Amino acid sequence: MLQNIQDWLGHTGMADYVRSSVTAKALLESVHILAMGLVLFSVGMISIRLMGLAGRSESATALSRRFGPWLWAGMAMVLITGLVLLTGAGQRGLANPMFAVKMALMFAAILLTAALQASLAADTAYWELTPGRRALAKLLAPLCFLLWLATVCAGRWLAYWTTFFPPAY
Amino acid sequence: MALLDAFSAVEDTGVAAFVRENPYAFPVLEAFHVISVMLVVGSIAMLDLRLLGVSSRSHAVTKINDEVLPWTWTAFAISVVTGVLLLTGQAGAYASNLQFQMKMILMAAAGVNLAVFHFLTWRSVHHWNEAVATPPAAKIAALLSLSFWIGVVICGRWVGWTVSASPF
Repeated sequence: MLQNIQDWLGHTGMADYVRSSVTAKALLESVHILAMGLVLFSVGMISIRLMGLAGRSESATALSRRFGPWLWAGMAMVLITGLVLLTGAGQRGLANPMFAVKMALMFAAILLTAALQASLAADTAYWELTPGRRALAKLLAPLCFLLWLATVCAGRWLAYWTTFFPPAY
Repeated sequence: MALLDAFSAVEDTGVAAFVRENPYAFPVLEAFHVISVMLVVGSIAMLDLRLLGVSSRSHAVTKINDEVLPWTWTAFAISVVTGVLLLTGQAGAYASNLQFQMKMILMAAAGVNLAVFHFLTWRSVHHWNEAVATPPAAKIAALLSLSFWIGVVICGRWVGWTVSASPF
């Protein structure tokens, strides 16, 4: 059946354009997804270290520094591919209410990630000095990871925004 | 042909009907699938980059292996469960989709590469555990792993654009 559709499309004038643009979109999105994989895993590692769940053989600062370059290089790639994708996004772009949700979540995630990394760069023991800070770290670290997960969800749901934001009429 | 029939039979199950008919089922499953695939590739890439001498060079290979694999296997399990559920709705269309077939082949290739690395190359890990320069077999395994998993993501995303007649 797919072959029939492809054969039929192959005889229309749009064929080359549609094929190449879908391929370009799929490839750009793939890079977007792969780079986001680096971000998610890096944030995940820093989060579980701050929660004291893993990686105790290494200081939180050292671990944060080890993953920092991958986190921010991934982030840069995500932003670049995201901007290019946005130019051809149509209904999935700026007019999409889910896009505003995604951006809000993303900015919160970036700010919290940068704040956690900055605090660790300033003082290895920053999140262990007082009981209050220890408790706060156990709250902020998973929150940071969850904000990134929510950003990815909103990103995927750009394609389904009418399901999540049904038209009022 | 029998395989295609089996895939088509999956579409008649109650689970498949739920995935097709509930407006939130597909988007929610898909989001979990994307997140888990990101974590599979992001985590395994860190081990591959260590084997290539690019990342975490001052850390033992076994240490990186231990910190990465719980993420990889947990995320992989979630991605398989969500992936299977996602395809039930129109299993026949996925089974006959070229990009889906390529994705399955690349995953199988990644599995074979992992098995060869684990059962052969890994046996001598204590000889090169702390070394920045790992043996050629380990580097090749790492390059293959990166290539296969990048291919899996590209084909996976491509499936979404090419699978025919999406009714929901």
